[in-house]
Amino acid sequence: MSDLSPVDGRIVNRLNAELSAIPVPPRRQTSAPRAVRTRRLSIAAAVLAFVLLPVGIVVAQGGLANVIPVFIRQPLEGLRFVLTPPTTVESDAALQRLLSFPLWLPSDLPCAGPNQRIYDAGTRGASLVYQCLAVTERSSETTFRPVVDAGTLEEVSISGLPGYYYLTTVAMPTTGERQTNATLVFEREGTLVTLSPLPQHASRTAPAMLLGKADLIRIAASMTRAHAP
Amino acid sequence: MNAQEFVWPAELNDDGLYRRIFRALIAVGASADEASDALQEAYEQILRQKIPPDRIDGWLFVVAQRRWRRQRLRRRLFAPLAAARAQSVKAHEAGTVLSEVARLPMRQRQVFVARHVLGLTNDETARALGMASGTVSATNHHALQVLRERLGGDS
Repeated sequence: MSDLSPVDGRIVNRLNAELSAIPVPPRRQTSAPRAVRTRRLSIAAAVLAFVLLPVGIVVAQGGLANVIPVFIRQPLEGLRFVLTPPTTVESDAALQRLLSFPLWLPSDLPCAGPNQRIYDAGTRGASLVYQCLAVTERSSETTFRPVVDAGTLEEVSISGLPGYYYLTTVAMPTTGERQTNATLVFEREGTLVTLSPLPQHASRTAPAMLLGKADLIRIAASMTRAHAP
Repeated sequence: MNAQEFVWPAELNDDGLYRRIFRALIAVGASADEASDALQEAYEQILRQKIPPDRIDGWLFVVAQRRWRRQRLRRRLFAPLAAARAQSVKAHEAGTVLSEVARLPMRQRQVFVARHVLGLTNDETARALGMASGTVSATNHHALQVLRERLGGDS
């Protein structure tokens, strides 16, 4: 700390003084036996889950088909949607200028694009649409609540940082056809990034061509910041 | 030192160490509850380690911070709308050094806090955060430069 200039030293001292004024809650006791107990509890929970899994599968196979139409027949009341037309933007720099958070761009994509860059004033977010991927970004400081299924949520690591991968199945109200969408969501320097594979480039007979979990993680790891305007 | 003969040093039970890392977590942006939970998990994790880290404080800071960011992301994904709104309220008063540190990019915040709140050296910070020593030095320089500019008038 001796290499600090007087001004820098004052800043550091002020920071430490402000931190000292924050009350520190008493430390909880931690011991190795407690860690062992936690591990035993985890094993017991895993055994219980293994026993209950067949029941869950039966419910999923027979029960969900009855549950989903109920939500479709009874629309939620009290929700009002205000549609703000999104703005199409010509360049990455122009899109970055509209945003209050860093914009991230994939550099390792197996397809062309972006075909569209969209700024949504309603959510103050950005979307980039590539031939095989939709990237949605917004400030992680703003209020949001994505619809996810907690049951399928899977923790993943992207260059050492946490992320979540999940699958959502949607039943089309008119046809009843079901579609399963994969999503990878992670946070980077104040930006919440959501990656969703798009099926346009793949034929219906070759679903294996869709981007999988490993592809999404690779693309997420390759994302770099857009150049500041 | 043989890992099997290793006995955790009394430093791990030192309340001063706990307070220092707790404050470092607050400085990088965690709330008091988040810092307390994350630090608790980091302490539990360090007790399961077979090989001791070279700097206990640096290790606990990095692991607790990782835990905090994971918890925060998860909480934001599942929080009810009202709770998410409450969380988005800024934790620190405007004009304080803490509020200005909170506006720094995460990497600059981590380096600045590791150097000046935890008191790690350049090399120790580099090892703890998995960065090159030169990058730590440059990042710390940039962080101080930004803080000087923003707080220049009243520091």
